Amino acid sequence: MKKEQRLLIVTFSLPALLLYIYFFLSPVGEVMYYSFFEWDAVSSKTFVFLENFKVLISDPVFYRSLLNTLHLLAFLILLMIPLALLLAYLLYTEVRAFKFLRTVFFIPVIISSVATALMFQFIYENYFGILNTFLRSIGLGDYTRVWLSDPATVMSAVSLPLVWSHLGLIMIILLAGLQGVSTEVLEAAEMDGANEFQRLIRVIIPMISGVISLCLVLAVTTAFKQFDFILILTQGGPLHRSEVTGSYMYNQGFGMMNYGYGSAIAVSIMVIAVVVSVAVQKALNKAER
Amino acid sequence: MNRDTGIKSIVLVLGMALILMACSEGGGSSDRVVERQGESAPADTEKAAVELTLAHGWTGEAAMAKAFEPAVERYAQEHDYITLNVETAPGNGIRDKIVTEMAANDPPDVFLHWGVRETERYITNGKIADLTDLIADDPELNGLYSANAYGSATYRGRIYALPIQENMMTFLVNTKMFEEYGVDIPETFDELKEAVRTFEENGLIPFAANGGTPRAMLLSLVDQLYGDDLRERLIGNQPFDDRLAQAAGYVKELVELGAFPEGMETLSTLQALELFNAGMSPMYFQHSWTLGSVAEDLFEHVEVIPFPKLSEAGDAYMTSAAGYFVYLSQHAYEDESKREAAWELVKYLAGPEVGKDLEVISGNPSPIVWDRNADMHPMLAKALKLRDSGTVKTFADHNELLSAEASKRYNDLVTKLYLNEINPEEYAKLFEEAILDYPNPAFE
Repeated sequence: MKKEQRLLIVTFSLPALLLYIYFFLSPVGEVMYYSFFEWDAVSSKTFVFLENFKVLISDPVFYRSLLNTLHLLAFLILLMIPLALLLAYLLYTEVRAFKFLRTVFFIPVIISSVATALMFQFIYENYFGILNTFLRSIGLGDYTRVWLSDPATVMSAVSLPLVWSHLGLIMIILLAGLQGVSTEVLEAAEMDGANEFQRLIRVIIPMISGVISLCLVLAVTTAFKQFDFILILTQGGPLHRSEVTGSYMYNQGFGMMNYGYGSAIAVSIMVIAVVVSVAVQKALNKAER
Repeated sequence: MNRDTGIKSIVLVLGMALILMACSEGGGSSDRVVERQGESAPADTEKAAVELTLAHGWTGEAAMAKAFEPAVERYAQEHDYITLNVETAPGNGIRDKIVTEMAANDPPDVFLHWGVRETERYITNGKIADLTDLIADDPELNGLYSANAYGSATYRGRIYALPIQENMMTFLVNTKMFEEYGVDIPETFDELKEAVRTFEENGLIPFAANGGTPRAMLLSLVDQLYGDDLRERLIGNQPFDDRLAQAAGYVKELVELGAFPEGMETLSTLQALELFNAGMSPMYFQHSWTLGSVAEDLFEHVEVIPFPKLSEAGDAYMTSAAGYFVYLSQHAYEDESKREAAWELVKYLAGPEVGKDLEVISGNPSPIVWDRNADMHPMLAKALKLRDSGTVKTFADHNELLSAEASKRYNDLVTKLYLNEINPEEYAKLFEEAILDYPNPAFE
């Protein structure tokens, strides 16, 4: 490549590159930088090097929030992705009114997370909420719970709105993947005597493993950046029962004004999310081979 | 691409990232300060155009919004030389908003906030103007507020804000429901327990409560048990004794009797009030800012009573002290083009016109001393009548005497107490530790 050509490429890529660096890389750099300081966002910063990380390692609330995040992740992987695949497959087979259903399934994605969280808050409310009222009305009053406080239910209760609001997006991604599956391969499988279930499990899923892998990575990042539903539904409480890493980071940063410690949590979340995503990718690649 | 080109590219990207980081960190604050300082003050500052920013949380469903937002609008209309930019974040959201703006070195010129417990960092970092001299030099403010109204806005002897709201804890009873179930209005704690039992047995939720209610009860019980000796203990100058655990034990008794709704920790204050408004609960004990949200059809049946006494011979207590304030930022104070207009705005917001509107329209007690007439909000009139009757002693919200960290721990400990995660003795021990570990710097 000639020098002039290289210069031309650099010139044209520079604006996009600068924007990317400014909006994506520099905030990451800043958060990493702040994580080495004790700082309340107002006073001058005190350099403490790795002290915030040392505190984090022995912080039981952080471990609790990490466990809760994994609970959230389990819901996304074990409930949302299979359900999204099922719906995508139904649409792929062009069931009756599939175009209408495609829109219906996607609607939760375009509803703001605040509205979704408030809606679920009304559903879970102890005395006036739809869920407990319904249970009482059908004679299952013993099964009513304080869904957003009971340690046995709170994490599942805050996970469901997340599943509901992201299901449509994952379904669309999987549907796009399904539409890329060659019809010849499916016909060949049919001629070989494979029934619908066998075709799904043995042919289609392996052929869209790349797309499923993308969905898994999205699930990991969604779980680790989760914050809005928790903030509106429980604020991480009561007593950190529903604290996730995202809400803990926010509460430390803005609630307690521990910006340095909040940044250390953010860095840890980033590292853990990257490690988990890479592990998921590697596991899938290995399974594919 | 060969190895050298790759390395050069990485170095180039990192270099640009560092330059941009440096620009983004320093850019926001100092530039703006220089620009402001560079402006020359107009000869006639009263009439010269000025732009002010006001941040507050009295918006949305809070009853205060009914009086406060029109008052702000009125001020803007009456002062055409002022461009008033109003920033709102409902309820506690204002705390996050102010933190963010302070961190960005771009604070609002005037803002509403809690006492120095919440603003101590801003004070020690020179973000909030010291109003002591302005107050002393202003005859309009002389005798305007109730005694000790500046208490929670005072930090090491200096005053940093004007009071706008009195925080009272009010105990409301629905007399119609008491009559219906043949229960006497409780005057003692034993009578209260009896009332709780009766209502609970009849399938009612005795108290329309959220997590704030047990805290309010604990305040009242501790006030009764310690009386005038309490203040020195709350600021860590004297140790507590068994009475603290005793007070926590009384709250625990009420929890065990089923006095509160299941899952009260998940309810907001106004959601809890709905249980009272809907006739599901005959009692409600909460902050006075909610008085304006009591359902109108209940007004004639609702009475405000003192929290029941532990013994007939003892004193009844009511939490009452200024707890919400109007602040002036140091930026606005130092900016000669803004100072006077901003100070006038502070005085207007914390002044008689807005104070009276807050009481009459929103039922929200103001620290302004004025001749309260028959137009007063009916619920607030009942609460003020009790407070000023001489039958109850008043004491500040304990949180106002604690540091921010101790206050947070205190709130968490009460939650742990009613969720059975700790017992009253552990509560007492941990609360005292929190006071000693995190002393309030305002009293150092």
